[in-house]
Amino acid sequence: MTSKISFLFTAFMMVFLTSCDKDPDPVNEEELITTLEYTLTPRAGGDVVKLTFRDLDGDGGNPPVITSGTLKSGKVYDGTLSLLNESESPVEDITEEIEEEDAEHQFFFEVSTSIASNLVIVYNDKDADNNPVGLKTVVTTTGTGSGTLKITLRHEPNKSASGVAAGNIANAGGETDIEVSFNVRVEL
Amino acid sequence: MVAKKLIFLFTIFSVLLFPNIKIAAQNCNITISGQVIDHHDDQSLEFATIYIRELGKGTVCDSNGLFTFENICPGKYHFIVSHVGCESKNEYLTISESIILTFILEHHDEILQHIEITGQHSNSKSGNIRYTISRDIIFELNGRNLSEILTTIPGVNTLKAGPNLAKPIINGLYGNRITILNNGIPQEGQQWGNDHAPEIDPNTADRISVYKGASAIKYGLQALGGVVILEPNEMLIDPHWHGDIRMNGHTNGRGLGLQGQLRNSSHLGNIRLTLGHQISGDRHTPKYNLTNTGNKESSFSVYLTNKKNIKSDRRLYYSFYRNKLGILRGSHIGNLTDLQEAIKREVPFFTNDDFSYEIQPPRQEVDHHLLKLSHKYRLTDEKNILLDAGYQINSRSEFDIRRGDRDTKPALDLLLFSQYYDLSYNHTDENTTKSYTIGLQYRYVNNTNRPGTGILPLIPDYINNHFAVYHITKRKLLGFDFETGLRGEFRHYFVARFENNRIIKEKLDFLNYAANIGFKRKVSKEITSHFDISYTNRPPEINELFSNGLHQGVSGIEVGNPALKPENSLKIVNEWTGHLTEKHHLNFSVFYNYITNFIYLQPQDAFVVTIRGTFPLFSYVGADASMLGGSFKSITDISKSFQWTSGLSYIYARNIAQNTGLIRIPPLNAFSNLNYTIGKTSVFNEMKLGVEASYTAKQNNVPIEEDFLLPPDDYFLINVSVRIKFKKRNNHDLDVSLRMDNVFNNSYRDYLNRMRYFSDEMGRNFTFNIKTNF
Repeated sequence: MTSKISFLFTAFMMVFLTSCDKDPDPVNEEELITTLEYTLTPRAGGDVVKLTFRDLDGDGGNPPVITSGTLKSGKVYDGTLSLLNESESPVEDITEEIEEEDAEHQFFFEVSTSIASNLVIVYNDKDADNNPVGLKTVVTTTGTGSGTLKITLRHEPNKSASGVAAGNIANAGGETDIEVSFNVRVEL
Repeated sequence: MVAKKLIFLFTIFSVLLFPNIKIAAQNCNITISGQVIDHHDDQSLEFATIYIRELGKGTVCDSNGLFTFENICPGKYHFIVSHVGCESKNEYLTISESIILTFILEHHDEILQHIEITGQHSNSKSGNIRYTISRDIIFELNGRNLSEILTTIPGVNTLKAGPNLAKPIINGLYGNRITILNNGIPQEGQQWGNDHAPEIDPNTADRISVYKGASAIKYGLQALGGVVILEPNEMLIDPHWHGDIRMNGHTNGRGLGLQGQLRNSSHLGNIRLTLGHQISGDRHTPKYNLTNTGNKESSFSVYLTNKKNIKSDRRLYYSFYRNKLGILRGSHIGNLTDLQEAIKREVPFFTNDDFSYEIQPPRQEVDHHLLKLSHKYRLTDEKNILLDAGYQINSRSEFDIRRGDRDTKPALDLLLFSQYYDLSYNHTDENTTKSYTIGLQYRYVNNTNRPGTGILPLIPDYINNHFAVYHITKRKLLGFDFETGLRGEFRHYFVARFENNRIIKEKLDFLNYAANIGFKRKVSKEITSHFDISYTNRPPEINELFSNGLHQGVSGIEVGNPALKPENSLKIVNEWTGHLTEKHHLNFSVFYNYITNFIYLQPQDAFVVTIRGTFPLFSYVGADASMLGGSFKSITDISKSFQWTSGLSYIYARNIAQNTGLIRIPPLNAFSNLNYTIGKTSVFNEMKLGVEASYTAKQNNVPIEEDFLLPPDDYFLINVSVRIKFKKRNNHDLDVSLRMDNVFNNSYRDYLNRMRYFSDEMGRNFTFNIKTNF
């Protein structure tokens, strides 16, 4: 008798627990950053320069679209970083997330040696611990030249490590959330 | 000797089956005599002890292993049989008249993990090259995970991702090419991931075995590299609670564990329960902490069998396993630049000097349930029908370090449900020359990405249906024991994956097969040789076909290849086991494996540019590969007390298409142990002192362009151990083992540990184990 019951149980499991279709919910990629925009506004007036990195379909798929920029020599620019997730509608502003967790994030701006003297970037904002974040910067241009600017966002860097608060990434550690490179020119 | 065994079995069975035969008069003149023999060579075991608990009487066998008890009254008694170097045996027998008993002990169990001739018991587990680790050895290694315990078998290595995550490598193969049988049911987990350890507590098993030949036709195409088997012992009829309680601790990680087992039987049947819990905090290397490498593991199992019955044999097994484990904080990286930076570090990023039990992200949380039902109907003495059904639920959540409050949200969240049915007709006859099994199998696997991770899944949702037919025969012919196996398998994959956030549903069908032939022969009285040839045609698995995305652990974008063809493996294994002299035991094994279209993850020339920087692109491809390897183990009884064991294993693997080595192949390793055993004193029954030296060479045969870092240097470790089996007090025995691993606190890295990119291996570690049987 008991064996009949267990046989029936086995058959029951087989029939009722076997399905043959799947309909996964679409995934909302919450953390995805599709777009980084570095807006450089000259203090004394002039053309606004926008460096953008846009990869609407995320990792893999179509390659990202990268827009380079040309700055005028002898100027002071206010730099503002904006991060977006444009795969959602309405477009999600990721910059706010960074602002909320400013102590855990820091941007680094690395200029290639060819234009290191022509393009100087310093932090213009502070987190609660008085350490830089990098959402706001001041960019000073002199002379002429061309090269690359690499912008890196580190999550949970060690901001008190040597040189990190001054913008040196070498000892920062943490995980890279963003790492993009732009071609930049400084001209008269 | 076989006849003797049979008489013994018959005696036991008749006692078990007809326990209620009344004795006419209370006759206290019964004589119990008999012999204690070694399971392996049927040699008598001199000076074994036999103790009848109820009577408080004991005796010691003479030099021929013979013993006698006189003037015994009829009754039911516990016989405890023990011998130096053997696991003691507890048998409960009903004695109604004078009887001759033969007790079989597992001598040299830790040494020549025996090769079992495929008999009645192993009928359901075909394949004849088998190594077994007994519960006694599992005890000495308590607190370690399944894969680490398996490395005591020559030719078995582990692929690790830190101290908590290890998966077995058998003859160079792992993951999708190894099947793990938990009580006869193939474990269905996420075995595709190199950082996914099998979700099993070794303490739920009494015996752990490995088949190295690809001859496990019954378990099919995923078993081409070998099979790991965890199983409980056959239950003995004994209406008292028996079992053990074990405790273990280790200093490196300040870990503590408690395990127990309980067994009983009544007129309804037998029950066996196991329970275990183990915790550990951060481990450390000789120089620094391994921050976030703690874990918490729990397990529970219940095994029920019905009362011995001529007609039908029913079994139920349920086990639950849970593990929450931390992954080295400094190994969590964003992109290729981060990885290169982490590799350059002396001490990993995020190393905290303070010890902690806390398990932060990155971490894994795994639950596994297994329910097995088994019915065996005996049609006649020789024929039976066996139905096994297995149901498994595997839940895996992996947590990453994420922005916002998303640390509490898993980054990968999988729920896998599976069913397994096996219906077989078995014709088994010990005395005639032929036995065979015909079976039908159905497997259903349903894998779901639980929503809410906010990350595109690396593995799509899928449903697999497998149907298989197999046929296994065993026969004796011209002095050989032959075994043949044939299997045909049809697989239907249904996949629902995302492409540009649109769902694409796909169906794929595969028809594959496997065949093997094995034979065994006693080359001399003392030496047996096995030969096994197998051919397996394995279809690609879901991850090989449809992975898509960033694999955090390996810092690469993995892309599946839906055009992959099945891989074909031809494997030849030859093994020699036996006693060269009375004092010299040997196990030698060689294998050659040729795989056409060997599926592996190959780095592509292209890099993928993402907003997080560049990542290497890996794609699954098929290439012809070959492996030639072997292992060797020898035991010498230098004197009565001194025993010397040594062994060596090596694999030479080639990617034939590229003319390079293969990635993650175990390097040469060798070991040598010296044991000194002190026999009975007034305090203990046995004390064993051991020194172990092991050497792992540098792996030089590697595909340099397929890895981020060259293999680490060779290393040499010394371990020491003491084990004391104390004398019984108040009917309880006490078994204590102490061990020190990495005595000289050497800093080293292991090629097969993914953490070698980031950190050294663990430093010196003291372990203690205490056990009491009751």
